Amino acid sequence: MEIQYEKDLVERAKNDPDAFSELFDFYYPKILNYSLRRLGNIDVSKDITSQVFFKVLNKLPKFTWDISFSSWVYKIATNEIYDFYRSPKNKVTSLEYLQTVGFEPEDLHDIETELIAAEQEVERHQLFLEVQKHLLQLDLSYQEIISLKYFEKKKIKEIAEITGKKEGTVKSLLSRGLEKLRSLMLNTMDMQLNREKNVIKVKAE
Amino acid sequence: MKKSIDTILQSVDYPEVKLDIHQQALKKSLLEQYGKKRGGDKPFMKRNVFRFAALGIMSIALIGVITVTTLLPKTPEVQAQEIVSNAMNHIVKLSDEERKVLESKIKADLQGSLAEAQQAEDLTVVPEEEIKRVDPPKEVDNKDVFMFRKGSEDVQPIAPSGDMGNAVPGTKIAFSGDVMAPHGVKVLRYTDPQGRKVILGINEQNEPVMKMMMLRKEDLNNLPKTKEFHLRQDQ
Repeated sequence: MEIQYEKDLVERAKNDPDAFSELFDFYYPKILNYSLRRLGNIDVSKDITSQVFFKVLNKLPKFTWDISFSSWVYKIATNEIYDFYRSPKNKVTSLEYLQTVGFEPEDLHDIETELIAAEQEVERHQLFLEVQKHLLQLDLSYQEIISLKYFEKKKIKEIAEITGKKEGTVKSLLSRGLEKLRSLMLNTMDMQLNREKNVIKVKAE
Repeated sequence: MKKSIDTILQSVDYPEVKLDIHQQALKKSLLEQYGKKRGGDKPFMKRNVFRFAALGIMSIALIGVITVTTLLPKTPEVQAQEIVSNAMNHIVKLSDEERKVLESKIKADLQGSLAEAQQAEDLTVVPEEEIKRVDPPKEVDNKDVFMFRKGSEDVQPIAPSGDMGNAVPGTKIAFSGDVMAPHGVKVLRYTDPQGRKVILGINEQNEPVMKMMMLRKEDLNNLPKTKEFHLRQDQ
């Protein structure tokens, strides 16, 4: 979306539901997939996405252009994911939460079918799942930055805006995070290699 | 190896899922919330009906207040306060030179006199029937225009303030007029902190142009006796 167009749209969205709809349609898939890549669970990601947009709706009138709108939405999503990890009580399906704020799914069966299809889509990306499996073992601050950099293709400046960290901090966290991820992946590969060697050895014996 | 992890991450084919049904359901619910929070068509109208009603009531009340304050006659006390207040606003805009001219005319401190009048509990406008109107500048000159209280047995001279040295103590003069003032000058009366009755004249430009005070016995006794008392006797 062109920057100026988005600026006008955001300002209009404060009082115009049609403009808000347009923003929602543009950002919904981005936030849903960002959550999914961070969490690896489509059901939870769907609920996190819902919470993010209810927050966007509530906070939009007070939104100022200290950071870009895109960074602002991602920041809300990042905080929601952070809260999800930090607070066990959030680890329930948020369908209940959504129903309290007026969400009424017309057909639960259709949603379930849609979720299954989405899970199947995720399962097709084996390399991603492998990376994600290791990434989820890292500290949250590394996860955030690596996800934003590689999954969402965000620039360092944008990551700094989203996470509220200085660009220098983002760079060093990214560097350290990659190093830790590499170590984890190497260990796994070694373990797999050793396992395979043992299997071959057993078979030979 | 760091480079290779970077390469791996760059080359990963990330999943891109769609949840159209969820998206539409969520949008619907968000827009309902939007309507409740900021007012869609109906809530907007409802909210504004109350706003318009409140505005209408306030307008009627305001019109009422304006009508009452403009149509009902003001008391002489209220009028006097307004006159003094307007004069106060006027003199603050004067240059030092203009102020000196006025002060030499009334022989008193402008601001001090107005403040004194404003604080007096009995400040009022002198009724027109008690004023003898004269044409300035021929007949009005602070040097020889003095005013007297009508019907007083013990006739007392009223001297321009700051010019009491010109009064002759004990002079009794028959006098038929009340307050002599040029046309257009609003005449106010009040009692100063020393207990003297003061007459303050303010012209149509909101400039104080005359200040007279009724001298009491003790004031007269304190006057220097060598000065000549100029007095114009009203015929």
